[in-house]
Amino acid sequence: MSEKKSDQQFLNEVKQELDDSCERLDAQTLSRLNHIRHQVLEGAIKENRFSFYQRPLLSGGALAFFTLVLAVSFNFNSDSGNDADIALSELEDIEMLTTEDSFELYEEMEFYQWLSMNDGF
Amino acid sequence: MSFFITYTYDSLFTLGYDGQGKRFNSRRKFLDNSQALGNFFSSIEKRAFRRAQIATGNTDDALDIVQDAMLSLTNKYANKEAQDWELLFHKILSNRIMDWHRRTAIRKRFGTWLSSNDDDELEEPEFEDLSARSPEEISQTDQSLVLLEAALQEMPLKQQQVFLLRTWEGLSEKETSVAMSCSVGTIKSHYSRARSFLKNKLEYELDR
Repeated sequence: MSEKKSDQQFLNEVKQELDDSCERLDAQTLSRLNHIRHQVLEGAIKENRFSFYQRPLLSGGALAFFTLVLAVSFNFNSDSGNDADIALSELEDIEMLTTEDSFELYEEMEFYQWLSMNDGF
Repeated sequence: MSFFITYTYDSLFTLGYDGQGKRFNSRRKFLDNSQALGNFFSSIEKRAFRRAQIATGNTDDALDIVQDAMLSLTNKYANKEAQDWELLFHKILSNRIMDWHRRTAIRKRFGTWLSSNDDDELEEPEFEDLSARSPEEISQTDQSLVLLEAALQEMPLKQQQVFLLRTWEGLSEKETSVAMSCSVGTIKSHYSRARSFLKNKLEYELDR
C-alpha cells in the first residue's frame, strides 16, 4: 500500500513539474502560440463566410438552370399537337424517295394537277 | 425532384445532421462554436506544445505540429460537441507527432545514404540535448525539470506519449487507447514500463 502511495506521489510530482514548465514558457513562445490560435480561427471563419456567399450563388444558378430545363420541356410538350402533321409529311417524303416512279413525274406534278383539274373541259 | 429541392435547401442553409440524426445549421453552429473553440485551444495549447516539444526536442517543429493539429480539429470537427474536442485533439496531436518522427527517421536515413555518396549534407533536425547543459545553465532553470525532460526523451516515443497522456492529461486507459490508436493492453504495458523507467531515473532527483 505504501509502495502504491509513493508511486502516486511520484506521479503527482512529475505532473506538478510539467504544469510548472507550462507556466515558465518564454514570452516569444506564448506569443507564437497565441498567433497560431488566432490564425487558425480567423482562417476558418473566413472560409465559412466565403461559402456563405458562394453556396447560395451556386444553388441559385442550379435553380435557374433547372427552371430553364423545365420551361424548355414544357414548351416542347405544348407543340406536340403538330407532331402528327410533321410525321405525316415526313412519311410522304420518304414514300416519294423510295417509290419506283420516275422522278420526272414529281417534277411535273403541277402540270398533272392542272390537267386533272381541267379534265372536265 | 425532391433530391434537387433538398440539395438546394441544404446548400442554401448548410444543413447537416447531428449525432442523433437531427438537422442543424452547421454554418451557424460553427460561428457559435468558434468562440468556444478559441477558449478550448487557449486551455490546451501550452500542454500540447510541451508534449510536442518533449517528443521532437525542437520548438519550431513543436509549434508546427500544434498548428497542424488545431487546423485539423477546426476544419474537420468544429461542429462536433465541445466535450468531444479534447480526445479528438489528443488523437490528432499524437498522429502528428508520430508522423513527424516517421518523416525525421526517413530524412535521417536518406541523409546518411546521401552523405555517403555525396559531399553535400542534408540539414539534420536539431535536437537539444537537455542533459548536456552546463551547470550554470541548469541552475538558471529548474534542474529537476531538465532531468525529467531528458528522461522522457530517452523513452521510446509511444511510451513517452502514453505516459504524458495518462499522467499529465489525466486520460483513462480507454481514452488513451483511442488517442494513440492502440489496444488497452498495449497502453497498460507502455504506461507500466514508462513509470518504472522514470521512477528509477528520477525518484531521488524530484525530492531535492
